[in-house]
Amino acid sequence: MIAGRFASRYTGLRHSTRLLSTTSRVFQQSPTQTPLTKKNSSKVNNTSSSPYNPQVLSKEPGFPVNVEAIYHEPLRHEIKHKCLAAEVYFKSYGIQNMDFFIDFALRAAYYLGIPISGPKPLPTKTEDWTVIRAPFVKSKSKENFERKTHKRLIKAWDANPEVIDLWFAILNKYSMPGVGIKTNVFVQESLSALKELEGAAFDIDDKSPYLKNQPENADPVAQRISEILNSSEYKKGLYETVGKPVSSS
Amino acid sequence: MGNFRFPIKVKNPVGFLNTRIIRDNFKRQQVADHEVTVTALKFISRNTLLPARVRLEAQLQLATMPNYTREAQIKNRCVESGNSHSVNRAFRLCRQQFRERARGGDLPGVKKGVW
Amino acid sequence: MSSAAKQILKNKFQALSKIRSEIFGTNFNPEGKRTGAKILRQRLVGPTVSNYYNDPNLIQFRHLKAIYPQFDFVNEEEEYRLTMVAARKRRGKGAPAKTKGGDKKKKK
Repeated sequence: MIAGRFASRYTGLRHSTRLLSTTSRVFQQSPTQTPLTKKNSSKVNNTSSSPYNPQVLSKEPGFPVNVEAIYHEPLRHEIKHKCLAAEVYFKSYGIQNMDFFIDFALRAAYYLGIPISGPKPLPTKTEDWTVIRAPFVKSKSKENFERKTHKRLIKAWDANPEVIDLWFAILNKYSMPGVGIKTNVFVQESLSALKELEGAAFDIDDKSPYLKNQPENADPVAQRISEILNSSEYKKGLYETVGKPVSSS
Repeated sequence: MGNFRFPIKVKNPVGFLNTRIIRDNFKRQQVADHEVTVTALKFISRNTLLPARVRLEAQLQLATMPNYTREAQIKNRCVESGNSHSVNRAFRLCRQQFRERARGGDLPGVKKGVW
Repeated sequence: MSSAAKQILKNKFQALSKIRSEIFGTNFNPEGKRTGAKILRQRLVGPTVSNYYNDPNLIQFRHLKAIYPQFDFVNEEEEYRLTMVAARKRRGKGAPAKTKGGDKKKKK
């Protein structure tokens, strides 16, 4: 299926899915890549009276703007403030589903007003395994297997955390099989919030501040060490020779 | 189903079972249970700042701990056949099982490497 | 560089490392004594190791009857196995009968 694979890489119109036609396909010129507004949508919808030709992608009268938009590359908002709001990583063993889903994510982001940069293809990880074919001996004949993990990165800028959450909810609801998503969210906090955090974490009087507010079971090994050294057999050894306790830190 | 073969009762895993898998699984559970103690004792025995007697005490206790608490006794086995040779870490399968499943399309994303 | 000058420089660097370790709460061991800190640093592998085989609490067919007593369940694999066993028996290829007291035909 050619349509999905090339859609994200080449700008312009999408190819129709007419795989069996051998003659060259003639497509209508796309309008210039300006954002579709109420003003110019009427121009787009008006089709000139041309004879019916199945080779030409014709537009029906009364095509809604958002449906028309599907036939073009996803629109993007301009990044004005360069404040990174979120990073979305996509991972998949194949490309089709992932690219299609990313296209959907970009469109959803446009409708939500989130400026997006990407998708940036990250290096593909290839895992290879070479395995002896036979169950017993015959190590000269082997078979190779591989698994490719494709990665893409999308960065969302400028938006509020609530809008980003909404976008993630949409991605979750309409997720595609075989595509894994990982997100990093960046939130800008005020200085007063930071001061509150500092006040809670640190106590000026205490000597080891970063240890003081650790939860009970922070380090089970350290706990066990102190338990063992405080047990009767070990205490003897600690106090016997020297006469005063030795620190065990 | 009781485990009479070991001093401590441990639940058997689901799926293909084998004497060796049962044994290995028991060791794994025990290693997980005793890991903190073993690490603590190891630390005490290796810490040169502590008096020699304490270190010796810890070393002796470590030596007398049962074999099933040692990490080195664990062996990755094939989950489907119990084989301990040529086990692939990513799939927990031995090479034959891996090959069968890979050719059958049961492993997601794995295909024949042809170049 | 004379050895005295080297020593002074070394002392300065050591003092700096000491202050740095106090600020960031890291270990300070200028003489390189074996304190066993590397054992404290190592990651604990317990959960990873013990979860290698399947979860023992996974619900199997035999538990379904207890959980949902009002439903009738069919174990297809088991049914298939039983049909195969019956077929083998029918054509005389079933499992041999168990002898009481074990096999006494062991020679030498």
